[in-house]
Amino acid sequence: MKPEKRKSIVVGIDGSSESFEAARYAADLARRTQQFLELVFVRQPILLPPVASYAETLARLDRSDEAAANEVLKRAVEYVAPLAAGVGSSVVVGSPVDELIRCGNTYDASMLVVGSRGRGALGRLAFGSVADGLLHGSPLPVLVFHLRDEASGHGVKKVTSSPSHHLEHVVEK
Amino acid sequence: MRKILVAVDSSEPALHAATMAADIAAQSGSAVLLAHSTQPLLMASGWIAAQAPELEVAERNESETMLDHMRSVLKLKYPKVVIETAAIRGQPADAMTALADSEDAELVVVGSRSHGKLGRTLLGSFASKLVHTCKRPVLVVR
Repeated sequence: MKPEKRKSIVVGIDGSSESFEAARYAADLARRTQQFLELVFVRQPILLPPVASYAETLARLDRSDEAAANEVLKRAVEYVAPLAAGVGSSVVVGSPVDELIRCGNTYDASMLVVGSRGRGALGRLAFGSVADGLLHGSPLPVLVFHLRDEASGHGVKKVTSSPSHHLEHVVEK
Repeated sequence: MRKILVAVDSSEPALHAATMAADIAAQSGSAVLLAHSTQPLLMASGWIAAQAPELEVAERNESETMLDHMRSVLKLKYPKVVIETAAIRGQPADAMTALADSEDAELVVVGSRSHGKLGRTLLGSFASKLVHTCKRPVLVVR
């Protein structure tokens, strides 16, 4: 990683509330560090052979997928707008890990931001495969955002600053 | 003042992580807290256990020397950034997570060891644990 300033923060959006909160966090960070914010929705391709008899159905499915992705991005952009100082969005098709890395390079990203969980069947239990894949495969810095459970006592939109706690071994100079 | 916690050791990825944290702090007006954790002797007994206090002092000194050194290096490039240091003890990922919470860190940054094979990187075990343990935003830097 080169220490000098890069130009954008790329956030993977999948429609989950965690990805929206990750985008909000990233929007704030991007604004404060004078970087662009790029929201990316990676759509999985429909992996069926294009047989003539249902080619039309596939094309329709593909269009509706694309429309759904665009709708999610539109909402994500609206959600982060109050915090962002310039936000772009795009839908790409392919493997989420590979495409996010590719977008990171395209947008000259300083970091990739993703939610920790993902949206799989075990999403709420498992560490997301996209976060895991990026952590192991991304040459760019990766920020993993956790949606904090209400049970943990931490609000997502925590605004108060806690009093500075005494640190037993802190060495301040 | 918002605080960016960086979990460091004396490795090169750790210096990259600290540099990126200082860079973000310089632009966003946050402070940086460099922290290094060492693990207490857990299963020692007899003579070995008797050496624990002395070992602890030695490790603490080593931690503080390393942290001071890293702080001076960062100060050369980011003279205006407030940089604090903390030598902590405990199971590394748990101790760092507790520190992130008590300091209300807005971001936790950690370096990850990289291995050049085919451009793939291997996530260090500490970074990997921290990402799972700490519920604050964790930035893993190569």
